[in-house]
Amino acid sequence: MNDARQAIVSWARAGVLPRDELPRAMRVAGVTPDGATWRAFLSRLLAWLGAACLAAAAVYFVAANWQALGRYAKFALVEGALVAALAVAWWRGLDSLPGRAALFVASVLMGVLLALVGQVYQTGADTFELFAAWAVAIAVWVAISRQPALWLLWIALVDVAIVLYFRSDAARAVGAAGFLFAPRVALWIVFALNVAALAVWEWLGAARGGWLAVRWAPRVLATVAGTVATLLVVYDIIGFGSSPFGWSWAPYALFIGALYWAYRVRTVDLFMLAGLVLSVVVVVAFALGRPALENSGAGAFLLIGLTLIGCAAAGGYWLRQVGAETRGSP
Amino acid sequence: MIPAAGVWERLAAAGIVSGTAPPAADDPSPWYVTAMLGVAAWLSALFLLAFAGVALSDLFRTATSMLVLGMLVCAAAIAALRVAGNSVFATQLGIAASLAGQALVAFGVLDGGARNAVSWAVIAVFEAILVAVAPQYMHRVLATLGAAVALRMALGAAAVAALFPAAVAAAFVAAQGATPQRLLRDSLWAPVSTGLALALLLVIPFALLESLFFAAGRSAPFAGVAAWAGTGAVACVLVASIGRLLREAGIDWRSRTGMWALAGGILLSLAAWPVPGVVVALIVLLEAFAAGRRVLAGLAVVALLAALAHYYYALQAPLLVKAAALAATGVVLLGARFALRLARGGGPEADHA
Repeated sequence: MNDARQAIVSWARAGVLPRDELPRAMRVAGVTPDGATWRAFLSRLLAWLGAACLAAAAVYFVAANWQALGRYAKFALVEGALVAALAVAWWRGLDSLPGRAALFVASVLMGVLLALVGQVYQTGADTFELFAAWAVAIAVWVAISRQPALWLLWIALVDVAIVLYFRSDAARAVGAAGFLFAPRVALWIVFALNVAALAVWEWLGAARGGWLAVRWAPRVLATVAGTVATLLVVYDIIGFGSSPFGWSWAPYALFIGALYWAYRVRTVDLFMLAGLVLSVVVVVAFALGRPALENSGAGAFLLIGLTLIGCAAAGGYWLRQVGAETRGSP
Repeated sequence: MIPAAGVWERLAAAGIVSGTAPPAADDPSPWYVTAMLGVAAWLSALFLLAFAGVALSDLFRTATSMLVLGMLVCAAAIAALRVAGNSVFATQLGIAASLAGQALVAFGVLDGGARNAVSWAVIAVFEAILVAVAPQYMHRVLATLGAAVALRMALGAAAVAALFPAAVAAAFVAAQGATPQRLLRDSLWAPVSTGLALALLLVIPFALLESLFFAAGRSAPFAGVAAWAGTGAVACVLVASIGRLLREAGIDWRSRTGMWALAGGILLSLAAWPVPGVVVALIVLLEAFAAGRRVLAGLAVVALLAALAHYYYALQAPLLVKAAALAATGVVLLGARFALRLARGGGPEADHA
């Protein structure tokens, strides 16, 4: 939903804005794009989507393991593409759109190259080593890139490497289901890594601003950390190898408290607070649901349903109050 | 999200309004608060359904009783939603009860078998009616999603699931638009288009489910024709969408810009023919950007990346052919960007990120 869009429509409904002027009002308010905004959008879309298609084509090509092409030709193809992408990044600069897209493609191609090495020479390396080596190989590019998307790609590679390290069944671990049922120690490390990355990002973003000041990147990190923390507590509740009162509760409570302090007391970020409320609602649902399932009492199910409705409604009301308070502040 | 603050002053400066700014009447909840409430309502509905299943277990033995109970629950929930106003608790209770009622209706309709296309079509119509009669934003999103899911299952059962992306994309384009009449009905069409965009994200999980539950449908003699027709229809929807966006921007399609835009759409549809999911996501992205709906645009980007990833597992072509198709699409896109840059003079500032 969009504040300006809703306001304009409500003014037109109330008759204080001529209805025939609605489309023009949307353009003047910046809700709908003008010609220059369209051109800038199309330029970015075509560059990023074109780069993504070429990078995906390289991945598919190596995965196809085309026997008619010799090993040197394969290496020449992938390395040639990698060098070309780096050349574009160097030529156009890391602050230009083509330069940023080219560096991102080069980072993906590095993974393709490492996979090709494993495919051609049958190194026998574990899959986690591919992701770990990939993360190490592009670390310098990521560090100089000033690109939130590239940093998130790097953190995702490290997350996958950690999960794979603790799993022998690598193929299953890469999928979403594999991630969900990864060993708990792997999930704890992923949680700690993402919380640390979130804290550092917020600290640097506040201190330096610039490209670090974007909100979407820390929100992605918080979503990953929050999902993993919620999952670990849910595992404790439903007893996946642990008692219903396992030790996950303590770090979970600390995490929730820290989120509240960081995004309600220190500053206000409604997205983070909405995630916090959702996590609490999910944990309450499982905490109350397990005894209800064990006893199969109809009244218990009704009570839990109403409790969840109450929790969510209270959370929604609180978030609206915080939002209104934020809009009212200078 | 674009804040409302200062909008009135900008409109006044442009001579569109005059006087002092009246307060905006609509609920200003950001999308993530609405989404949180939607997920919580789903969870609550599961427990309400469990309550009904245990407490009223006798009623679950016949399809008729489930249908009647479900419709009564839905009617009560919609009545609650219509009088709920700004009460968060009443709204949440209404949505959760409605979801439980919808599940009961679905169980009743599907009692004769989950592979019956007509049964799924009936559920889709029921959900569409709920979209029209219940005024709450999140309820409309969820009911639209329910209607789309039921439509997808109906098409899957009829072995023409390949038509689903085109059907939803066409509905999405129809729900968009910048005419005054359309904008005044934003409270209906905005949640409908959000629900349809979410349904497009579900195309991939649907395909996986279908391979488990509708294996017979895949070998139907007209499944191949449906796949071609579906991809062709997606291309037509893209071209129609570009045409409408041009018209709304006041650009004649016979002008140089108009011809370039339409030709680009056709070329892209041809290049991405084996990956129709990419074209569908692009349709949503373009329409969402044109309407200034950034969250929808974000959903479209997720759908686009998912389509590229899912293409890897699609069985209709070997990986080498897929790599060639993707490379061709990439070259077309980068070529189009180069042409765009040339057309506007291509100064260095044009590329500055």
